[in-house]
Amino acid sequence: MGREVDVINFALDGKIDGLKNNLIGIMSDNAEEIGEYQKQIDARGFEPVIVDPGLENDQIQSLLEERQLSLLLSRNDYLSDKSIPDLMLSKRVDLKPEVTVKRPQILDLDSLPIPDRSLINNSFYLDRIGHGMTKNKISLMTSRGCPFKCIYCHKLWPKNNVIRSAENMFEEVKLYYGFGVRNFVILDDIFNLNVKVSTNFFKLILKHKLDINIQFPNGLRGDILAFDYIDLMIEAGTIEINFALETGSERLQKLIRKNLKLEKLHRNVQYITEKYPHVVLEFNSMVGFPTETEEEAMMTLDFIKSIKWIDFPYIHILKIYPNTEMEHLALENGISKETILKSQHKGYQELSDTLQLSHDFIKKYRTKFFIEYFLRKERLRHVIPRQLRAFTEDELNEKYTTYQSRDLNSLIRFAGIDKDQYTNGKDYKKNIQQLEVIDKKIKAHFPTKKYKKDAMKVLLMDLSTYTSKEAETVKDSYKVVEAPLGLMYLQTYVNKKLPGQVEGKIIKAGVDFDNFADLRKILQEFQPDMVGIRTLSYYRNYLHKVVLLIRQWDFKMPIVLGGPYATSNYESILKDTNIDLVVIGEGELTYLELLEKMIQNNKKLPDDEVLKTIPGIAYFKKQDKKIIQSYSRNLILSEEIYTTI
Amino acid sequence: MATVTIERAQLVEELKKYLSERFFLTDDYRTLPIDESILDLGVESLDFIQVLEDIKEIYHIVIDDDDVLFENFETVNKIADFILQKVINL
Repeated sequence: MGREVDVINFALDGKIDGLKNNLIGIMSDNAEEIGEYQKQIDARGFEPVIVDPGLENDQIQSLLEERQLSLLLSRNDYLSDKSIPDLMLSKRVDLKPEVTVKRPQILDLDSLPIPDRSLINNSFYLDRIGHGMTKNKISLMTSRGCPFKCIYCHKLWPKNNVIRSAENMFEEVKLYYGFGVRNFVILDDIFNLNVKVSTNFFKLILKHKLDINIQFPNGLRGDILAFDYIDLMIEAGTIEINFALETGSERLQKLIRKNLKLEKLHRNVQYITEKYPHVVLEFNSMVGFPTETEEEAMMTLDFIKSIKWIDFPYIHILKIYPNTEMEHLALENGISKETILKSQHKGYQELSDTLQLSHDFIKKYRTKFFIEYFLRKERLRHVIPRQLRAFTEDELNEKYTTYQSRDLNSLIRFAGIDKDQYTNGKDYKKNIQQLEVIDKKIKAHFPTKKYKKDAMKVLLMDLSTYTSKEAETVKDSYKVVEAPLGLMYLQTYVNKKLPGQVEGKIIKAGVDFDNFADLRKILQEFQPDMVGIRTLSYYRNYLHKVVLLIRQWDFKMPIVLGGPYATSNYESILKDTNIDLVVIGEGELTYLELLEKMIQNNKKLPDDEVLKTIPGIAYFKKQDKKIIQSYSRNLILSEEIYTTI
Repeated sequence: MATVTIERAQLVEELKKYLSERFFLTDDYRTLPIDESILDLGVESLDFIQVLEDIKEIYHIVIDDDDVLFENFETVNKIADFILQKVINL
């Protein structure tokens, strides 16, 4: 005990303004903690209101509103499944943010400079698996935009698919090849959409005899592949492909507007498994579409089971994102908005109340698949030796741990495989330089950044991974870490356009800081004029917690959000008044323009009149923000009090 | 070494005890229902690799790929039937 004393002192000693009454909310179900808080609160002449963290979001909201609580103390973990922006508002606000005109899509991706990887700690990322299975890899983004209309997708990005030229992509690969890198991961969702450009890219690899491995962990469109294209991509070094099946039902393919030609996909995958058995295949599928029947769900399993063999088949539970056509379909079919919102913090493997198929069925469905396909010894004896030839045991262990919380050796034992026969076999392409050497070469290649004395400082933060403690709190075992490529693109572009004027520091949770005290230290030492954050919707609560803490630590610089979560949810995000502005869609041009305007305004966010001229942003006008702030409730993360005082 | 004389009732009790203790399903294994899906009792999909390995080892039976059907392992009773059938065929 003692923490409670500090929390109450912090809350009441003038550090937190705006108490509207003498009530202090305590979110807790721990009798000892509650007792200690009560004692402290009573001693200071206030009255505690206990809020049970087990209540539903709506019930908590009603309680807070009813008692007109303007101060709520909560432990970090209680907020993991709560909507922090909602908890922060003492009254529902119907104000809409200002949304400026849409920023036109960047059509010439070659005009963007190759991302400057000296901006990050490369040694760390090179030493971990990311979406691709290898460690010593460089990840690339080669295209943007998607012409497909799948209804489960946010459709955040433009419909027009644009791709870098084959020469431009090759230039980046060749650069790192020269530094000793041999593994390349292409992060695009559909690299093969532009057949001509992607074909030319593979031809350049072959023409220049680059001996590399290429992985496509986020997917190729499987039904538009042709056999000669497959031959070419594998000849060029492709060793891993992810296909997104989603469903094996023709009716559902149409309903979700994926419109995959299942026969063609099947034919192509069969071709790969028969002709190129060394290529590691991943398959993504989903279960739980509104109106999906048990028979239709089984069609997906039957599709996968008919292929010998898929290395990593995934069965995800459909996650219905707000503001998608899938949400409309769900609402039309009797799934409530509240149920959808409540399911947002759930992982792709967690059963959700949005499912119309019974949980009992889903459990059996997944188990049936796991034991009758995944655990089939014939399959394990086929895939694991090939995987051991192409990847290190260490990489495979990380992959299996992430994939099924299962270590490789338990599967090897189960299948009776003699591992020593295969480990690090002939297909494995080891980088020809040590990680430290590659890192040094990267740093030497990109020009040393020299900043003007009065350069603006921006801290760019990627929150699409958890810190260790947060991962433990939310029971997240997903260990994949991808370098913050999007943030590198932003800062590289600004460095080119405004040389020396903006010092950008890029950090990633779990990499550059692994606890909140370290994050605070970074902020204190760097003293940014602006903080820019990107994350995915899955990490929304975590993001709002971090932003809350930044304010709790009394940092007052503007906080700007960008990336997928920000683009798809800017309206609700901005009700968190700790966040000043959202960048919608592609960031480079908007980020540049915003910084230019801030530099002109003594590094402060410009006035509404100026903001409204910047395309691609959303924000609350000053007067509206004041109204929302007047309804804001102080929320204090009690557990982090020692990083605060 | 199991023999064909294995008692079904005894086998069911052994399985109840094994599942209860291995996967922390209940404090008193005797109360474990024998016709309910073991998934509903708390065994996870991923636990099945352990179930298969342990059964193979405890009862000295060979489990072929074609035996690994969910239906054979869904309940305590079904697992008992499967083991008995395997033991008889030894």
